[in-house]
Amino acid sequence: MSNSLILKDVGKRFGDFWVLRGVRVSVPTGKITAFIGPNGAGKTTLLHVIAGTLKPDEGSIRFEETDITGMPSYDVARMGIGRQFQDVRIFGGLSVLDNVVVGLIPHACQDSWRAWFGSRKTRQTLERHQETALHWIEHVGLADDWHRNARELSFGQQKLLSLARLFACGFNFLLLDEPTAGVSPKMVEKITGLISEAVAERGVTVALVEHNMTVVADLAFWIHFLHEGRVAFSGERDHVLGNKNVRQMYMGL
Amino acid sequence: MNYALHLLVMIGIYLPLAYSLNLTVGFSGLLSVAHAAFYGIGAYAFTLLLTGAHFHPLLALAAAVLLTGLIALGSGTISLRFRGDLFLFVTLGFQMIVFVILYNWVDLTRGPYGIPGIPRPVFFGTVVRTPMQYAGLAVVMNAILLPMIFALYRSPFGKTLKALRENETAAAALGINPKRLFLQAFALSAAFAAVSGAFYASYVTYIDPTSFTLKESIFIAAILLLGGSGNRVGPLIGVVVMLLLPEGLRFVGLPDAMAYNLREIIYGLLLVVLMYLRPQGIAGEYRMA
Repeated sequence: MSNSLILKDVGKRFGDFWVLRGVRVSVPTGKITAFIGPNGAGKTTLLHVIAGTLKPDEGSIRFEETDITGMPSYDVARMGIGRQFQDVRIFGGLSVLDNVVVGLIPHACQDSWRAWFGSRKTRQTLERHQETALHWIEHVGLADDWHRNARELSFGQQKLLSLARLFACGFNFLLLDEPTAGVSPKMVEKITGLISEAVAERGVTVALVEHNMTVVADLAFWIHFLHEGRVAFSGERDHVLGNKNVRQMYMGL
Repeated sequence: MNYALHLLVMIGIYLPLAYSLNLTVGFSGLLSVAHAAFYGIGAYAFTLLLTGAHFHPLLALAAAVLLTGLIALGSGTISLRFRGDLFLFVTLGFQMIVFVILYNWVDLTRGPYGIPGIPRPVFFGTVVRTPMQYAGLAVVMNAILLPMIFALYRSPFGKTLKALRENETAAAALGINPKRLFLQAFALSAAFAAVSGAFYASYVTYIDPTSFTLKESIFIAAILLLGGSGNRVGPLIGVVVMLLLPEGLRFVGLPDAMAYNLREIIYGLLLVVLMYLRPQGIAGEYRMA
């Protein structure tokens, strides 16, 4: 089994307080890995550090043979790592369609002068992006809403939109921060369906943070249990979920 | 008639200013009060290259645009380390520095005396002199500049800027480099303002630093706040209202002695009322937070 992502002794400090310390984890390719643990265990910080929104204070992060430690987030994204935020962070003032289209732009023509004034070629590229975007918007079930302002969508729909954005960009590694938090049970089902489909059919690798243990039990292949900034247990799903200490420390069972 | 044509020319000068600042304010979501500084740098660079270095007018114009863009790249590198209020304050500082330089570097700019006798433009052997001719030239300038600016609005670049405006972290997580794009927008915006500056110089044939003050920058920003930003309609409405409103108030028969002050008060009140009723401006798409 190969690993897409390998973290070696990663530490992150806010002031004198180490939020993460000596984190050694790996994320197997083509599988879903869950990071679980109580609030304040450092799960979201870990995603920030991987995605480049925060720089680690020690340790190294390798993604598919490349050292991405401390890389800015836009470069991490261009390596193929897509990131979903806990508070979704869709582009509220843009249409659903444009929310997905802008994600496709950087890879094609963000840095060229042509992107400024839009030659015929860029216009054609843009039209192609729109088709791709529409396909994925339909895929997540927002086909009827493509023209709406993204801020008019419900929270659950915004979560779907942020998934469409990640899928359309073709990221082969997804970092998902509580993908099912705060949505209805039906929406939870829809979202977990979309995630497992991406893994099963398109070979996407997923690392997610999640509090909903039903979802974790449903999706995860591998689990890392974080406690006070350290990885307390790692292992296959049933092994970790069945662990007596984990059940006591986290689930209060 | 000449009066109406003069207003038309002024609208022609302010349209590119408002539409170019819209790239920074409406598309990038960064409120800048340095636009008059770039407008002024454009005017001065054009004038000095024309009268001092005896450049061909079009060459002087091109050089002024390039120089202004480069200065914006430099100042933008500093100001774009900040966002929101702090960005505003850094642009304010830049605006004040530029004014002080224009005012005090007497050897170069003649400081408060200004530069008189700026040559009028000549096209095909005809000197542009009458208000009618200037109005025609203003129309031509806008017919060239506005489609360019609108192309920027529509382009992948424009769309990406809007995404950054809505949420910078999320846009960066999609592979968009915020600093680079903001800097491009800032510099392009300044370069367009320089064209208006050169036009202004050759229209009035005299420039001095008082035309390019912080007050002027705030006026241009107010055009966008009032008319609305982030699209093509807002700036147009802003320019027309802000330039014609005081002229309209001229005719309501305010007593001469207090006319100016009253106009300023009415102006101010209008902005306050508008921010209550329509915080995104009359026809704006984007609301400054």
